[in-house]
Amino acid sequence: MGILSSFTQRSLTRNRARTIVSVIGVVLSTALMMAVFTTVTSLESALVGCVEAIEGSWQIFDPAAEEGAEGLLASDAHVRSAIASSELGSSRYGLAEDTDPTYPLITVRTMPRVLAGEEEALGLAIMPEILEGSAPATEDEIMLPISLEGVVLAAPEGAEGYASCDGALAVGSTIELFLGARIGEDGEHLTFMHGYQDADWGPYDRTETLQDVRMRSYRITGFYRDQSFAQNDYSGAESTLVALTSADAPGALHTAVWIDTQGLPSKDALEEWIDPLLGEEDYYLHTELLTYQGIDTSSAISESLMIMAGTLAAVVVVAAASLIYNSFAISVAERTRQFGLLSSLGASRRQLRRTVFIEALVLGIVGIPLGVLLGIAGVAATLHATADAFEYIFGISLTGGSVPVVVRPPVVILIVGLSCLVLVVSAWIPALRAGRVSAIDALRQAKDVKLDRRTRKRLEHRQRAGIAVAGPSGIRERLFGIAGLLTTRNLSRANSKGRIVVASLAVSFLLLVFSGSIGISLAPVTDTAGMTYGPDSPADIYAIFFAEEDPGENSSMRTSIDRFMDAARSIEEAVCLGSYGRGYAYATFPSGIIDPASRASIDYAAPDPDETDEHLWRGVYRDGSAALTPLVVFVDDATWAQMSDAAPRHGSALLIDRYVVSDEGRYITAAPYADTGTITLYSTPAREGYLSDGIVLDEGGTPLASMESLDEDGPSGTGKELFSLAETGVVAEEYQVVDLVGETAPILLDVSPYLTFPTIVLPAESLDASPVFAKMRGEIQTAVGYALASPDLDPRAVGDTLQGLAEDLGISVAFNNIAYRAAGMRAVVSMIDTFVFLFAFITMLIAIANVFNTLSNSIILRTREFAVLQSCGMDAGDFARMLLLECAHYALRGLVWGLVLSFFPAWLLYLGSGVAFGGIAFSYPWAHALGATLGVAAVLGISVIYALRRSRALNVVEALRADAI
Amino acid sequence: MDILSIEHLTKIYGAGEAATHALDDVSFTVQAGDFIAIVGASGSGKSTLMHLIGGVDRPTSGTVRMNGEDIFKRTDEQLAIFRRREVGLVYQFYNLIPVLDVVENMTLPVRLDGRTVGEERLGSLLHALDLEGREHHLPNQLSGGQQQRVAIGRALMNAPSIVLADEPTGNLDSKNSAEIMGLLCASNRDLRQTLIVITHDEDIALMAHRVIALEDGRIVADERRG
Repeated sequence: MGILSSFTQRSLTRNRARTIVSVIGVVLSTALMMAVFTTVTSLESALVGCVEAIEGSWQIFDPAAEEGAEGLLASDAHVRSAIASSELGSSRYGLAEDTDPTYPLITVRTMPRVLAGEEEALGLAIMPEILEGSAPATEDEIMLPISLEGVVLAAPEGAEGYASCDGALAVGSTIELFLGARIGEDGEHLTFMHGYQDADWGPYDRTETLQDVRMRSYRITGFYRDQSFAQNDYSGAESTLVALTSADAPGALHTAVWIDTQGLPSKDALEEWIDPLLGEEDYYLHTELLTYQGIDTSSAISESLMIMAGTLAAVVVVAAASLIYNSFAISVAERTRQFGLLSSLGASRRQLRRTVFIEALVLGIVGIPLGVLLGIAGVAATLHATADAFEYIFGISLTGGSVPVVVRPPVVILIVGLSCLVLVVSAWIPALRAGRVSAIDALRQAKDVKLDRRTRKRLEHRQRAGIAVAGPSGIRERLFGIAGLLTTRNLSRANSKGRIVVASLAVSFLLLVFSGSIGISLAPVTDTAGMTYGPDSPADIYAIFFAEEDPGENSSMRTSIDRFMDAARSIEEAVCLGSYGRGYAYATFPSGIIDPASRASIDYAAPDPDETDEHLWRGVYRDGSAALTPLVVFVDDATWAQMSDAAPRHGSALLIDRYVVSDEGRYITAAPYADTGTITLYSTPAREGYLSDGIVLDEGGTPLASMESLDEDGPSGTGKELFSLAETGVVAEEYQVVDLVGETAPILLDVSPYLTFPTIVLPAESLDASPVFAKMRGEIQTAVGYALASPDLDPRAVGDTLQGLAEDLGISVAFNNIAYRAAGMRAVVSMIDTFVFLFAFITMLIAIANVFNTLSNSIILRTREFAVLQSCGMDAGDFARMLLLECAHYALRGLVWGLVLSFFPAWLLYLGSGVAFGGIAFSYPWAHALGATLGVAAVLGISVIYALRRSRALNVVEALRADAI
Repeated sequence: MDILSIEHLTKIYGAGEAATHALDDVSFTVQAGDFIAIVGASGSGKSTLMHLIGGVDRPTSGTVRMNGEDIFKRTDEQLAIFRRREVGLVYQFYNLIPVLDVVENMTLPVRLDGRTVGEERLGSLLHALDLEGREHHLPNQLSGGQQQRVAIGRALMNAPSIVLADEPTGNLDSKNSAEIMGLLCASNRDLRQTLIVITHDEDIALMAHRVIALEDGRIVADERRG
């Protein structure tokens, strides 16, 4: 070991506290950078994995590639893997049962052919899952979607060219298909991507035809699970069923290709390459996957992430550099005399610089590997702790219970390089300074004191003016005596030590405020989560039933709901809160039911009392009668029973006798009804060439339909016209109001019953029984609300149980699992909080290390000065006062700088998040700034106490022996 | 009259086998206005003795009585007051505060005491120390001899009853040495200040009224000269 290495080693050992703090700084900053990048790579990789698992790994998809494209793709170096599937034709089919098939055509496609890449190319799209039998091996074999299993085919009477099969469709049976090419009205070729075009069938006003139809027989080898068109699963199609035959079957009409590329780093490069191969605008890009793969950077989210990650990394680098720079600057300053002595003994500048770099090397060798490991371990622990949130975000169960940590070698190299760079840059200036130390200056400590121009001028002026003793020179000296004088002199005349302290304080402040800015920039996400899935919903899980357009005689929706609710009673984990369906109707009220006193508060409903023709309008009339548009809620018997003792039967109604109205910002609760009575509900008026404005009452109390005529552009603006009910096809039905209800059943809070006037509650059977709702029935959904029996239950499991029950019963029902979504959003919010907290916590540790290191060391550097002061009779009080004054001065300057500087990252983060969440005003994290101020003050206090203790332990006699180098 | 009485003064650094007896049962008295030179080889305990007399360090055992009062019975606070009012210390390496100018360094003990600086006293000291025209120079703008004169000024500023000087000329050339010693002798002679000088220099020892020789922490000779 050379003398200089040994010199460095001793210096590191002797200043153990500073060495440890420096190593901690290197470890923390490396760990933080590693953590930021590893989190990004892990999440990206998880997102890519998730998208690939759900949607396949294709980057480019062309449903109808041009001829010859297959060959080009197979030999192109940019193709990592590619598969192709040909469409052979489509056949009409009909069902023996007296219902129309879900889709009107069966399209035959080939199983995938691998054009490039190995077997894994089949992961480009989601391959069909075979539920029964096997995949087709020859061109005469076929596999059908499971929805066709056991189905008996039959052509409509007299129709030709329909698929047929002897008996029900089963493995081993033969199906005959009349395959033709789908041609649109303008002669264009239609693929499985196009919806079925038939004016009678779907939303299209055009009709497609099958051309060149030929009969083809296939032996059925198996059935597969129907695939999703929306996710571009392999056999998903817009509006046809897809049957699959062998990969090599001839007779292709169109060929679809799925491609994964390599060596194309950007979306532009990708498009430039693929355009000539597939034709511009003929293909689809897998935007989501390309975004997560970092190829498509155009999305706002991606841009936001980039800006945020960049800002985070920059702040960490600045913090790390400032900490390490401080450490070296102090180390060099402390040894100026040593360097001078070495220089006087013949050490060259290069050798002196090298001692500093050796020190950096030692810190790096110890700190960087530890930091890399700590960063990876930290990310693994954090991802594990926040697994719930990611499961929710990704919507799948994560293998191993959490997002796997992905460590990419280039990232490790980048971090190690970055840390080394930070070390070298941080050590550079102190090393240069060490190299420039002049032997004489160092030994005489000539450079310890450096005067700025103002101070020098002032001293020269005093000298010329012959002022021997200057009076108290400033407020500090007047207030604090000699401590104040010494502080003033130290601050104005000492070398760069003060600036280092101020700089590190400013950086610490900046870091703490920065973590607050992260919180603010993420607030829109967490706030949205809170608003959408807050605790307001009375139920945890809703089962939602969609009415059929024409329920016919036996009203199957209500039957389904009742069957489901009966069966669900056996599930102990879920408690039924009731059910409701809601719609609007027109209603008239005779006078006497609505309390005239409440007329004023029901402002929107009342026409101007002075209006001469008030009966042209809906509202509460002066005689107390009313024509209104109530919210009508249909409830099950149990829910009805929660509100009223009256029996629920068709023809009975409840009125919600509570109305909350906002009056210039104040909320007033009114009880709008005076009495029960008989009300009438009406269906919507309809008349050719007119737009309905509902039902009104004339002066005699006769209900009339209020209509406005239409011209080509919509309402003509000629005013309201009144027609009799008969002229407008209106059906009316009377309901007996059996009760006025002040408090609704909890489940009805969903429909905001108190904010709507009037709200009418009817028994569920009325929805099916009343002719008033005949036309509306198809639009009304019924929701059955369930609460979890205990908050400890897993909402997803309970939701699955309910869903399983519905599937067992064969009932079509959708579920809205509010509790699961709320739990998921809570998990996401807590994940974000965890990340922000961890970042803030580590940056705070760096900041503390920074301030503590700088301050305590710069104080310790002055031991000799303190010893002299003590030997001259300075007491402990003066000494502490002097240190405190100096620190307070540094704190103030550091905080001012920190305040100014911290606006920049806050603003950058705001720009970053503002891109994705528009319309958010910039806000500065004042609470964090206050916290940072208090934190900085606390660290300062601790550093002063530490320095005082060190200086008390100081041996004055030793310190005065100035020759100790 | 004895201004200073040192009785059985012992100072041990370290403990056990590593224990070093820097001073070993040293006793002597000093009369007011005396000029004593303490001589001895390196490590004989000279500087330790001076730091103990100056109240900068505390002994392992024994007493230092100033005007009959044991200074080590004082609290740290009282000892600090003792240092600033009753003794003046001069070191070989000057030990000036680098950020304070000449006047500020010199007046430090007065200001530490919270008193105002007597312009007249300061003026005469600056004159005597030949520091006129240098009042507002910082230590690094001064030569070694000038820095030592500032240190002497600081020691004399409060007119202490005892001035303690540890090798005050050890770092200076012969011309500067003669000047510094001249200043110290003058203060002893004219102001009747007791002066204790630690030195290697025989010429300086010859100027003293009394020479105490130390060896391994013990007094081996104590001679009063004509």
